[in-house]
Amino acid sequence: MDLTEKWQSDDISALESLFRQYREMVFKTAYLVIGDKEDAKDILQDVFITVWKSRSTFDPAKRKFTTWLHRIRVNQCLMKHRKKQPPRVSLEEVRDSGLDLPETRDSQLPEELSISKWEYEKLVAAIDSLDGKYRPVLILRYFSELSYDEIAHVMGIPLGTVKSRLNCAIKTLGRVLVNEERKEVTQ
Amino acid sequence: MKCKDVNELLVPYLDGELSKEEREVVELHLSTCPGCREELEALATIKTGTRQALKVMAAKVSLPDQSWEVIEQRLVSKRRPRIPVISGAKSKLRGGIDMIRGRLVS
Repeated sequence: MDLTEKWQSDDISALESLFRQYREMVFKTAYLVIGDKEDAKDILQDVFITVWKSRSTFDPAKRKFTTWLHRIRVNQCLMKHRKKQPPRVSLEEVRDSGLDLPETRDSQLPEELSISKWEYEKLVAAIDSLDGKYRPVLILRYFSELSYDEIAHVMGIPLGTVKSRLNCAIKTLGRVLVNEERKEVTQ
Repeated sequence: MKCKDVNELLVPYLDGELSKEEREVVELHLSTCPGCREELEALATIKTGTRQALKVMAAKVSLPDQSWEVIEQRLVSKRRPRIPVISGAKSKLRGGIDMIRGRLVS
């Protein structure tokens, strides 16, 4: 019997194991969407209370457990529905977090392409300023690494809407960066 | 296909979310259009930067340790059977205590 089968057979210790396995994912995704640590903590608790209460509704033949979990998390975030300022990060905090930022445009980020410190700061600000309907889709794709189909299911929106929102979100971020660059040049 | 139409497909192209046919159309257009190739490169940079920025924003917060205990408590308190409150029990108890106290004083 695997973990989800045990959990679906009313084994509360299996719920605890699932919690320990997925708590970071749920908490951090909720934090990125909501922008408040305390709210994200409440959402994490509410999500796993719902996971326990709704254990009979999960069908492993239809969806992955993580997709089902994300859907509950999205619903809890919507229920919270408190529009707060999204998290803002200073460069000092970035360095404190242990991730190296490149000194110049040509140096490499931990991922494959390069981005300057300036671009990074502007990008964080641009993500913060994104419209509420684009932000969750962006986070589900580029943080949670869900497929378009999974995002459509989790958000309860058509696949075409996922495509257009992601397209629009990435292009908006690009426009913000270009505008910021122009401002700097004219100053 | 025109640049405007291809442009709509560039983000899903980068995300590997196009059908085989769509991908072939995009690649054929890219092979002949330097403008769209440049756009693709810019979008790829933003996409990678976005991924990185989100990772760093998430790395900034850490999860409190006591979360499971709180959940367990909430689940247990919901499962515990309710004890019926006997009407007037509290005031009767208070009266008994007062009576004992009165006797002790006297």
